[in-house]
Amino acid sequence: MPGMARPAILVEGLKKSYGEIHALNGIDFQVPAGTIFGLLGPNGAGKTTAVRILSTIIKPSGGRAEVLGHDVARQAAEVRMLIGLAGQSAAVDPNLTGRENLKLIGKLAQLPRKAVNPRADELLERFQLTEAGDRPIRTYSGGMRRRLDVAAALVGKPPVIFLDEPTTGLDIQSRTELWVVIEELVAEGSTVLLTTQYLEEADQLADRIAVVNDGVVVANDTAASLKARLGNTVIELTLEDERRARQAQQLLARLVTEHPERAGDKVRLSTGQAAQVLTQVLRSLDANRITATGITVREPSLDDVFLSLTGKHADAKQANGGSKKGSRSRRRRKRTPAIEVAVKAVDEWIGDIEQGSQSAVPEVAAFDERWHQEEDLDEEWEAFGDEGLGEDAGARLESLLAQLPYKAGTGSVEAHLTEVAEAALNCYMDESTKQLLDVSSVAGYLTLEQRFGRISDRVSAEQAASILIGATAARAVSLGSSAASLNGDGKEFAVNAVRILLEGIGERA
Amino acid sequence: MSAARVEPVGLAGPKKSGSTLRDILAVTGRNLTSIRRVPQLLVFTLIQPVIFVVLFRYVMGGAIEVPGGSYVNYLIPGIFIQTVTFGALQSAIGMAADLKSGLLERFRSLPMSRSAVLAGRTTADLFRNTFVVILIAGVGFLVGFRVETGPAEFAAALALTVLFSYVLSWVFATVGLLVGDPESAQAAAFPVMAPFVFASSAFVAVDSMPDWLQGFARHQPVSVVASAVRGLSIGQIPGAEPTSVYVLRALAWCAGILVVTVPLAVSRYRKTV
Repeated sequence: MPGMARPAILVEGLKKSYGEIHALNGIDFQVPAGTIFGLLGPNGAGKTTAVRILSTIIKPSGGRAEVLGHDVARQAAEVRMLIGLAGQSAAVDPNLTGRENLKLIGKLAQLPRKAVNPRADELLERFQLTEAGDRPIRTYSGGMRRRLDVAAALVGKPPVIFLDEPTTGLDIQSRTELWVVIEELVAEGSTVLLTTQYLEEADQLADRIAVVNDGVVVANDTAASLKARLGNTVIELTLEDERRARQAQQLLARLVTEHPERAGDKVRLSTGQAAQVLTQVLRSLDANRITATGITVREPSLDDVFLSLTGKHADAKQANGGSKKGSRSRRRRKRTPAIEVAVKAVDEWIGDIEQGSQSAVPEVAAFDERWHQEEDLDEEWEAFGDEGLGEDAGARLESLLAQLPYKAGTGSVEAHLTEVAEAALNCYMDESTKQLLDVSSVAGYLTLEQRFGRISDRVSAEQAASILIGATAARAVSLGSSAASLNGDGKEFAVNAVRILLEGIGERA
Repeated sequence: MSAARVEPVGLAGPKKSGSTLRDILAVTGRNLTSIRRVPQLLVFTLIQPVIFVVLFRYVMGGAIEVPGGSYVNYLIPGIFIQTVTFGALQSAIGMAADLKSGLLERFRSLPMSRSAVLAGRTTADLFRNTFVVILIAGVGFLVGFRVETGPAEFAAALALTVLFSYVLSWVFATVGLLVGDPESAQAAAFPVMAPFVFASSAFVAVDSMPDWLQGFARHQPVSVVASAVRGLSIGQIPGAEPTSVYVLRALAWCAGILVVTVPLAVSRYRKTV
């Protein structure tokens, strides 16, 4: 239509099935040229599948997609001239230096011969990798590797760029640095499709956000309107027990217009006027002799978006197929005995860690040193998780997990490991403490290591769990935090990790 | 957001659509650099044949009777073939590693030639194998191997060895794509390779084997190529067929395997990732 700009990316009824599994169930969206579009969703929502179709890696099972007017299935060759890809779906060669990787991609992106070297230099400088440019990638830290990964997507100066979870696993500084670069790209006229699990990231970068869940788009809006739907701030109270929580819920329901949601011993409330509401809430609780054991005030997270849009949690994948749309009440996830056993195991394990943690501090610091120098520490790392902290705790956890009704090795442990690592990141975004910030980099590091094949598939599920739990504890200890942080956020994370692991392996298998 | 913004297609600047040769060279270069960066792999490729040379030349050689007299002269051509056969495993491991790491996915999103990934892998392995074969020839001369034909024939022997290695790297690159995991590739390949290498004329004369094994041992590709390389290096040995017969059969095997494997590898590559 004349007068109307053609979208840079057009997706219509896009479907992808693997046998019985429907990764994409017909999604639609358009991305105007020169904007950033965010695909927001949890693991397994279909984000990566969409990116893989758009970047011509796989073919759709139905529907169509266009990049700058070229059909991704029928005109793949043309599309490839116009796109750059970074993130989960693409890798760099760990044995090549940063510069060599960029030059290789430059040649393969069909840059003119003379442009290859200057382009590599230019990108190294822009991503602050000039000094590291002549070192093999395997010596890079997680953040450096990710910067190079994004740089690799830009080598051919593509007008459309796909960034598949570009900051998953990065610490906050590296993440912020990448955000700046991404914003610059758009300022130069590129169109960016970004997938992320972080509302904060989508909010920061994207002009428009499509929220994806179970292979369908559940919302497509600007970040501002999405947040407006949610209320600006979430207040979460932890009470002594469920009975008190119910009392508190009833109490709060009379106080504020927004309906408070309850899950277990927690009550959650979203509001546009956090300060006033919080004061009121606390006064009222006090007057009724109800004591809150914990209070969190935070910006809405991905989990809140999901809760509000779908009535279920972000990580409760396909738990209940039945459509209960409109029900805003928080449906409590059924706690299986398996999860309870795991939670108990983690509980006890962390008790052991607390005792053993003081002696572990110097070891953790030394390990950390070497970790940055990037030696082959996988085995040691495992041993560390098992033995370095609290004697036979690792063995006990493993034996407890071994009793659980799931079969290890029935799926790709790799995928589960990734999920676990990402759960850690989700947890960081939710609980947002500085300790967990570094836990998240450990988890991200594991994800990367696993992606580059240095952690083999054969790492058992149990090992994966203990590595991650060990990582949490180790990082918390190394940062000099008290046992309390292990009890709080660290434990939360560990429990989360185990729960996701179990859901991933056990209940689905 | 401005609807007035012009589509930034021009941003890409001048880009030519791909030249396959340039892509193959780029991927070959990358693979050779990888080989250089992980020299352990090359060293392991070399250690095994050296152990075999020592084992067969000095430990068991005295007890092995071969037609034509000199066992070291019989052995070394066999070692060439054994080296490139086991070495071909590197092609499977390399391919599987690239698949697993996600590098192949990036390649698939690039406007490069579809065949360059496989061609680049096998070409790099061709260079590696040439290097290895020359080194093993050096080891052979050190332990007393002597060419009994002429320089031209011996050069042809080395060339045939390298050709066979190239054929094998196509076979094992396909295996790598099929298996998709470096460790599994390694574990799966050895039991398949071992009968070809050991039930062959590489180390002992086929006539010394039990009757039921001789048919396989005489005609399978490793034997045929080993016999051809031996004929080119030390001439026709008693009981053997003329060298030219072996060479023709060896070339036929190489051509046959390539004709089957290359399309298989390419179609597999298109379906993978």
